[in-house]
Amino acid sequence: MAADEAPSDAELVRRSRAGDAEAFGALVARHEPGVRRVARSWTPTAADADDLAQTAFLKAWQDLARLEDPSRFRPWIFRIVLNAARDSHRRSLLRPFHAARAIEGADPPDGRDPSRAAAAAETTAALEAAIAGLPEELREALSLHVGEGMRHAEIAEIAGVNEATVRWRLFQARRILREMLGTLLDQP
Amino acid sequence: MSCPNLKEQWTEYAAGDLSGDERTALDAHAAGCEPCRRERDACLRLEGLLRGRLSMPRPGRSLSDQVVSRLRADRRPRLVRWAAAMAAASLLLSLTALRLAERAPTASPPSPVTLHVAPSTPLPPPSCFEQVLSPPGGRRSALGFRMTEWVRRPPAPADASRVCVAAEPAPSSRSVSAAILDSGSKSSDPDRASTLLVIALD
Repeated sequence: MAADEAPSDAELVRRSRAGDAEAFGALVARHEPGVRRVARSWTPTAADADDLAQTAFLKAWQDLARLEDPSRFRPWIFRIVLNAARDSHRRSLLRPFHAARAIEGADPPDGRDPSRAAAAAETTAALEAAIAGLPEELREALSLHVGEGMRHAEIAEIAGVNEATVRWRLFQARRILREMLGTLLDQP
Repeated sequence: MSCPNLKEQWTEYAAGDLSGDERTALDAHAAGCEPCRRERDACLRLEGLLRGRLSMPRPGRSLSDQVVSRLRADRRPRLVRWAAAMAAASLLLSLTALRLAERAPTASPPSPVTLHVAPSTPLPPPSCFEQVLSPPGGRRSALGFRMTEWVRRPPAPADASRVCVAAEPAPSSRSVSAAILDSGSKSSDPDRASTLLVIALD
């Protein structure tokens, strides 16, 4: 390995297992953007998403020895955060998405054309609500595929299903969203 | 309304799941079919909105520092607490043993005494562990004992709940060294411990 080459996940996992907190910090830094994005699709606020992500990473630290293949840290940590999100959701401590989410994520007002800004905000809010209304497994597949750019095989590994099921879930998610958003998508 | 037999294909078209030939064929159809053209554009717009929504960057302070801080905060106090408790127990036992030895009617130096605090465990081979760098002179426990911390080379054990202690006074002095195997396994197998804290009682 070249001196300036970043250590692999596997190397960082090995060092973390030996108690190297800095190495684990490097793993967190590498994967936290995606983990936080996925967590965000389950939580009403960004702060809740960060708490969920942090909980997932701490759980990962405790369970590092159970990771059979250190090179598979990425799908493993996503599986942990999704399990944590589902657990929290089922305990009703969190619920996916929230009215505040639409406001937080809405497009900034377009000072030149208020009507377009209002239409964009309406579409964004409708999209948020539609995503929130998806069944868990469809929302999970969509956030990993569209949000994180994961291939079907990696999503299948995380979800514990085969690739055909992942493809079906992605198709169903898009089909449902298309129907729910209806004519809002006709706007230019 | 788009052609019913093509409705699902526009979803796949926008998602990029179709081959080049399939896309070309659909585009050719849409060129002469206004409803299908609208459906194609709506599906493409949905895809763009999804990408913008689900892949947007997450601003805010990095979690990395927070997580590492939590790890240190969670780990150190537990070790120090155990170190203090076990060192105190070891000290008590060693002093009792030495006092008994001094009372013995013999002219020769006290014979070596080995104390084992259950569950008894031998020290693990040093090659299994790496010493954590300590400040010059070593760290001191809350009771002032010198401590040296070691961590196991990978792989670390899966479970971490059992603490095992081995106390062994040095033959020729009043010092006792204690090994605390923290994060050990549910068995008393020291080979599965991931953290080793060695305490020297001067």
